Amino acid sequence: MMHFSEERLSARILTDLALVLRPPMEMMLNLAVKRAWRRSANAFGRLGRFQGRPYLIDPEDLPVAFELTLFEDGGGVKVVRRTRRPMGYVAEISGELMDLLALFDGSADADATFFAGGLTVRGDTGAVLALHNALEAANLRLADLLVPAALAPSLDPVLQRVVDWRRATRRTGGMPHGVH
Amino acid sequence: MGSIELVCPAGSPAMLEAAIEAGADSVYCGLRDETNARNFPGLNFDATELTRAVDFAHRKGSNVLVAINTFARAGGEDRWRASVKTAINAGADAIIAADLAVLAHVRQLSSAVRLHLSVQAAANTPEAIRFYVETFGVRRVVVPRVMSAAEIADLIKESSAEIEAFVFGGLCVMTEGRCALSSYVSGQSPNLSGVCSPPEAVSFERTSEGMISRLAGLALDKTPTGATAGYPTLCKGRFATDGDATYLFEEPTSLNAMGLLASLRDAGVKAVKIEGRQRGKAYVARVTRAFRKAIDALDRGESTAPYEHMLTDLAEGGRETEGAYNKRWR
Repeated sequence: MMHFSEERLSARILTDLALVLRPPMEMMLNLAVKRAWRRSANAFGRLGRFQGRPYLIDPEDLPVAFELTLFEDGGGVKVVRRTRRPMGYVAEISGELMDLLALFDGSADADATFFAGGLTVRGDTGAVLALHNALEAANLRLADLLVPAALAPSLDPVLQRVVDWRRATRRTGGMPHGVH
Repeated sequence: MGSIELVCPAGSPAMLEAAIEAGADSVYCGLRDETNARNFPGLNFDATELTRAVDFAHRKGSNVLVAINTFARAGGEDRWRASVKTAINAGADAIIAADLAVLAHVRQLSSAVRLHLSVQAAANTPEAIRFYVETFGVRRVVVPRVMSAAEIADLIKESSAEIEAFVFGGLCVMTEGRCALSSYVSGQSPNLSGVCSPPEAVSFERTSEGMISRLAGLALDKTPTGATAGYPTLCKGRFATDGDATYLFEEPTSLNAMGLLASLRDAGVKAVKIEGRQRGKAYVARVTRAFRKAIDALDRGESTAPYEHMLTDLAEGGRETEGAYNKRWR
């Protein structure tokens, strides 16, 4: 019981620390959304009736989650505290960060990842499909999500190799599944 | 192009580009409505995207085949007419259709555009094919996935049209265009609505023991943790009979007939098709690349064996089958 409480306490401290970094994280992610929209202006329109509805993107190995809302002409990301309470998301997508990144940039197959147990989805399955298809059409690169625009072209191949390596070593047992 | 035309799926412009860059000879796609059999949220092309896609494909030496392969709904025929017009105006190399009315409308609007008979028409006899060829000028027939390789070889001997056969991807075990399982449970089918197991009717529940998939509230399967699940379709559901839970129609598995490419080619199959417009860039790039290598190897007189197990992790349930191609039962 004590062990459980200590775990919860340390998770909470990590979450609080991450939330301190919320403004720069949100700024970077919102710029990424803006860049994606500029590059593929029609992509977010693929969300159809799910435009303006908030999705929860929950990387289980990070101390915080992300609320993503997209419109035909843009969108935004908020860094949020993970909670068990229903928060009105149209869908919640959780999994390991590397899998989620690979899905966002279209380098991993979503169906194979989901049906192999690498992802959990809750809420409207149609909304999840629409988001997947909108992000595919947006042609995001990993670097768009993780580094400033000026560095994206040169850093994208490196980031891609890191994510591919991390996912491959996990598959082949080079590193234990779910290691954080 | 090699000895067999490689026809690959494109659910979006990004997927179309990925397929062509990976070596597709032709790509097939649909418009954003129920006139094609992959009518999923966020998928498919609008008129502008289709025109750009055709331009891109032609610059790369590839063909674009537009699927308008659902059956027109009484009172809603205008939508199918509009899709045909959009495809022709975009410069599509062929229209893939199944409905007699759609086939006739295409021919009314254009004598030039190629007509391919969709698998949804389930034409599997020389007489049926002859009818479509003589009536509408159909140039190619996509044969149902319930036919064996021997049956396809026999059919080709008497066929007056080119034959295209599926070689990879989701495996419909029912004769296409005649399956009502999805509409029985959800009210929507691939035949009329363009969706099998519409996503709004699908839900997944993860428990400590595994994942339960449901369609319109009806539990289809419970996959233990660590195992790879199948698609939430009724034909791949697991049902209890005589106290034993088993897959009554078909186990969750994908078609992979790469090992049969040589015999399909020798039988006279003109084109092979990859299923999966609803998948994505990663899927289409990997599958196209593998089949491109296999066809090129075949044309050099080499074996396709080195490429035959490259795609298992993309298969439904993590398992592959040659499906009905080798079936010995009726």
